[in-house]
Amino acid sequence: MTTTLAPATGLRPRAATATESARLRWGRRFQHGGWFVAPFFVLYGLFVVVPVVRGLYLSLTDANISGDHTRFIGLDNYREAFRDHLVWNSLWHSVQFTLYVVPCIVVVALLMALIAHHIAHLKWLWRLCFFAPFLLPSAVVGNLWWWLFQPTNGMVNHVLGIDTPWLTQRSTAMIAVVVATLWWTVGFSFLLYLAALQNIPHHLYEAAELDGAHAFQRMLHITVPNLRTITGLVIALQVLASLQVFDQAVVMYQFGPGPEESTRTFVQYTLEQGFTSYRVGYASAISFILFLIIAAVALGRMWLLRLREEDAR
Amino acid sequence: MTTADPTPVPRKARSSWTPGQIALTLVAAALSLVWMAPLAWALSTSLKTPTESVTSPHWIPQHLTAESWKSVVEAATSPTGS
Repeated sequence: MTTTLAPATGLRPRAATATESARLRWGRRFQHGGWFVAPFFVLYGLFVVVPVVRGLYLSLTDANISGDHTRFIGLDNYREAFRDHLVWNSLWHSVQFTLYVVPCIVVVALLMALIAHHIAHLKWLWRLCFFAPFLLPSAVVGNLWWWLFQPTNGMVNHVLGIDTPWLTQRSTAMIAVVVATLWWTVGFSFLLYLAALQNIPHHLYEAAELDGAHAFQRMLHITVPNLRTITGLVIALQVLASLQVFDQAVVMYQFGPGPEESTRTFVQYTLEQGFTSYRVGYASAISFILFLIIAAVALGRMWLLRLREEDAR
Repeated sequence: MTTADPTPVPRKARSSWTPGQIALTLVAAALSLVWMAPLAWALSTSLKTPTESVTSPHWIPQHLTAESWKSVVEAATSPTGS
């Protein structure tokens, strides 16, 4: 006797067919797209996911650089980090650097972009001049400004006619790093602003001109509102990059913490713990704290952006 | 009745050197000068002798030399890299 259940259940074969065809469709889609994205996922897994998971594991151990006798110690490293005044100190230096450098970059980059956009002659020359420092490696920038800020034979003091020991006194040490960073990185934000300025429809300016708006009014009511999104992006990118400040400060102070430890940044302290004190577990825990801070800033920015979009609707 | 062909009156090209553009160019030049000064100083120092490069700062090398550049090329081509 060969009876089947199919007629009794009615919809089952159709559902089965639908599931089957969905699976086939997915398989076919994977065949086409999956293999294209597979190299990305493999590299992402190898170079991002695995190190992050490994770092998280190390942060829960007392691992040293030799890797011997590693013990699981739970959250002890995190507890120690919250009690360590050098963690707070170095975090404050990174935040201080961010508070100084971000507004400077936003203002200078916007000014440069406005000049390069509105100028009629030799546009390419101004763009090249403003962007060129961004092409230098951080070690070159650090060394260059170390020389420029020398008290007796440095060009900065010579040009300004002063004899400030920029790199050896607490009050100017961070300013020196900020100046070097502004000079080096403003080119990137300048390009973002320039691209945004070029995207503002020209007819808006023509209409405003016909309505009798003068240059300042056109700037205030057309340029500034149209640059709001890119300004948000520039601020977010600069905040995230500035919190991770490391190389230029380290090169300018020859891997030292600066005068009265005034320029030791969070990343530098992590490096010191990992490779000078050989406490890899503790260094991993500090890295994760910085990761959480940066993630919180990024999420906060996204939340604000969403709020603004909802308000606009 | 015939009418003469209207001859096109050559319009005087408006100069782009308006007062605003002159001011903008001056600001751009000043800013570029400041921005390129560290690079110019680095280039000028690379053409000074080691003694001259650590004496009181000046823009133009007194004794032009390509020794630093030669050292870089030699370091880059030597097997030990130094």
